[in-house]
Amino acid sequence: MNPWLVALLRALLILVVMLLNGSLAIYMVRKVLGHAHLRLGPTELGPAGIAQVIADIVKLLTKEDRHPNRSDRWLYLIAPFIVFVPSFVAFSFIPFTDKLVAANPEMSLLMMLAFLAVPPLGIFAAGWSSRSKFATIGAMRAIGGMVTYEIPLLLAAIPPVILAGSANLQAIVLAQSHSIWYILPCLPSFVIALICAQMETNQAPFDMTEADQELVAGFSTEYSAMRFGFMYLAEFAGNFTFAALIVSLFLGGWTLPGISATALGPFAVLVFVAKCYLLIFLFMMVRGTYSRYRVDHYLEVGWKRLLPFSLAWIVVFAAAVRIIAMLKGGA
Amino acid sequence: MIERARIAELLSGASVTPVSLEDESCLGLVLRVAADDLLATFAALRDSFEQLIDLLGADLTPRNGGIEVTYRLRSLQENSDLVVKTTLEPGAALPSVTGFYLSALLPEREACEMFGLKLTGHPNPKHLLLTEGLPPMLLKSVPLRSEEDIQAETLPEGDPALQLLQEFEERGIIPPEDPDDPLENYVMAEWLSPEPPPGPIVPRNIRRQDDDPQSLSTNHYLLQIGPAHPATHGVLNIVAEMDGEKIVSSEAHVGNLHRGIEKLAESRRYHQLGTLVDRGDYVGGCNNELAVALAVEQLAEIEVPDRASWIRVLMAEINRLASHYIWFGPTGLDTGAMGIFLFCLYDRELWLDVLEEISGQRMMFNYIRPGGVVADITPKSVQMIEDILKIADGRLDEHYDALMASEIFQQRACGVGVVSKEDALSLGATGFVARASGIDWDLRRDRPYAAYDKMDFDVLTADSGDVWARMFCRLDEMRQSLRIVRQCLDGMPEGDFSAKLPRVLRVPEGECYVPVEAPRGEMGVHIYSDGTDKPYRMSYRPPTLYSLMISDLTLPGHFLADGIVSLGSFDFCFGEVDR
Repeated sequence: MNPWLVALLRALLILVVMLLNGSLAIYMVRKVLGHAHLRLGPTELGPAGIAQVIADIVKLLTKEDRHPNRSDRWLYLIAPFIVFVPSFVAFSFIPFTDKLVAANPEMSLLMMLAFLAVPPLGIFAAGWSSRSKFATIGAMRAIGGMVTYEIPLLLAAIPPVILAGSANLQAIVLAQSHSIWYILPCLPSFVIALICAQMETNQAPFDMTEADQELVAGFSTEYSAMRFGFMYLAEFAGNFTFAALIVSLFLGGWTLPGISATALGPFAVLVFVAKCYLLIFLFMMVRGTYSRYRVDHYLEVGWKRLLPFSLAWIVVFAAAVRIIAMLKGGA
Repeated sequence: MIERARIAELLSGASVTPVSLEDESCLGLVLRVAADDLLATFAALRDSFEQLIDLLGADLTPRNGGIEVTYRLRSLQENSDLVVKTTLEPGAALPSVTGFYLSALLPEREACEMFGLKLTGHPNPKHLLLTEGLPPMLLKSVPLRSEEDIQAETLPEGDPALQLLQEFEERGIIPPEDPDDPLENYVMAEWLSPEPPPGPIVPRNIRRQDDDPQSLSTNHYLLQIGPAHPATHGVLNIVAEMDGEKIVSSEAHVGNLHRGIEKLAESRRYHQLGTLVDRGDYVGGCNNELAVALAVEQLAEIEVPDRASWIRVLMAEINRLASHYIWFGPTGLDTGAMGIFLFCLYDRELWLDVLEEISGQRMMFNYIRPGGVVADITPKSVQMIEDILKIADGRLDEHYDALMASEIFQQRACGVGVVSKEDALSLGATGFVARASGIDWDLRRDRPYAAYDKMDFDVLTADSGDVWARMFCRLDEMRQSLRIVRQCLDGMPEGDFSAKLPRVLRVPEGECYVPVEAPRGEMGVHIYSDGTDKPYRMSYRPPTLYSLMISDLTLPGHFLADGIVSLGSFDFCFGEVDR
């Protein structure tokens, strides 16, 4: 088959999965927060509250797409895509099963993290080009947050790489199926990764860039209609990507302990997706429960707590792995 | 009590000769001084009276009295008030007393614009509620006009104001209210040029955060927070000078909800006043109605049946609970906790159902009227209250756990929006703001009205004066309210729910001030009666106008995020601030 055609089909498939995930996530966030907060609309509107999703999507598609008079026109128009496209690319490295993965380069973990680092730039572009003070403050916070939380996130991904001996997500999943889930040896890294994921996806208590009580809607204050929708789609895709990343690194990906890959067969996808949505559920419950950090506390947690702790943990972990290997080699 | 002799002694010490110093039955001790002696009088009295509680004007020119300005001073230690009155010619200069009591900052501006006086010695003598150029609204010579009258009025052709307005309209620019104001000039320059204008931005706040010499020197910018901002709790507009995320200086602009309640009251009969004050603090309507009813009863010397007093207390407390819920939740929301907001609305709904059952309305009750209340409480409503009381205490504990027990919330609330005791006194803080700053004062306990003298409840104070203290005090207030509601149900006496009153109530000539402990602080009604069926002048002391000044002075130095939380914790109600 023509390799270009294959690539195109794969890209289309990812897009479909991403859109499906988007609408599912809208439904899920409504339902989870609706139940957590005793909200009546999302739980009562239409059968099982499903009409709320339709209402949301129709509203986004039919609203007027407007931009402020003095905005930086081109940057303003393309910013949602700077947010959307990298999330879309990062999506393609997710290993749904041993066969079902759209792109599987040797260093897929690094590639994924690299693309996940781009959306904050789009957020900055969106806020900056809006020429609104609230949006600009949100944009500044996005950059501050990105610099702060990329590093602990990268560091949190190192212990599984050390254990698996590879930076390929598929290889890390397979290595876990042969030993144990890496959540057990790397629990601190797992917790750090969870916190950073919450931060990177701009969810309360770390939703600094939006912070609706302070900044109206932060970077997206001036956006409307589907451009606004794209930002949200990217955010939901980001949710899923981070969940998939954590599931692959620490929770055994599409495998289940004690069941071989062949026995799992077609259910592997379901296992993977179920794990991801469980994590997303956790993210949403945290989002629905806590107050927001203040921006300086938020940066403090990153620089003064997470970063030194991650560095120390990696040194301890690497040393421990080395010593155990030497003991085993000696025995 | 501060005796008459002591005041006379203080005044003679400052060589002030009072025009009169009389004990007037409804008002208490009244000191009349000439306007020239006003500052010397305040200098002499400042140390004996901690607070300036109320400031109002009244146009007595039809009665050959000139413009009368009334100050109500309070000594909390001695639990006594002194009314200082001075009389001015229309258009004369009123010396500002902000040097003695900061709480005069906004009320002075309002009194001067409403009665056409000139304000001297004030740091910011701009109009507060009315647009510049409008006639002083509360003068008796200024009639109430219909909308048609106003629309029919046109500026003459070729008027410079009209040309300016046209130009602004064509360019899509909001015209400045006051072209000499540096702040408005800055806003205009910002609108007109693509670059931020050079030079300092100074919103007129008497307090300002000094630059940190160690920080980077950055350009300050002007941030308009509100009136359509999600966290300003109504139509507050705050103009803040910002350094990055920090507020350097700020000025609150009010008046977006001004409906002229005080002017309207002059054309309403006494039993109709309740509907007006309901629309003042529209969240705590019952307490406002209670204040008006008590004031009218005091002037007309009406005896209220016991049962009516008890029902009034019951309603006031239920209303206080409903009002506190709509504050507790949104304060959590200001910190980003969405859940607690909806939990609190759920609980508020239960109490609103009770209020609806008793009064027929969820807001704007018009239930408490001079003489008593409109209708007796029903057995069904008693049953409803008893059902809620079974769960209410437990649910308050849940709310505490859901919001205040969270460490993130504690980080956001502790040490934020600190109001020192001195500031609280000087700025006329009452109610929970005062109690959270260590002032042990509750009108329900210290000057009991209705049936509060028969109730058993505690008053909690805190010392830290921050958002946390205010939340804690108010949470306890809610528990105490539940206690009072329970006592009301248990001890409700039998009898009539209203006194027999004539259909048209004529009140003998006089003047009185009645304060009640409303959910947001001391809500007072000052009525001048001239013997007819309508008040000659009604003034409404809005507690949150004073909280607004406190918040204004507290904001500089805070992060924007903390500023929002601090604002929310004062529980403004702009129906009441603007009236």
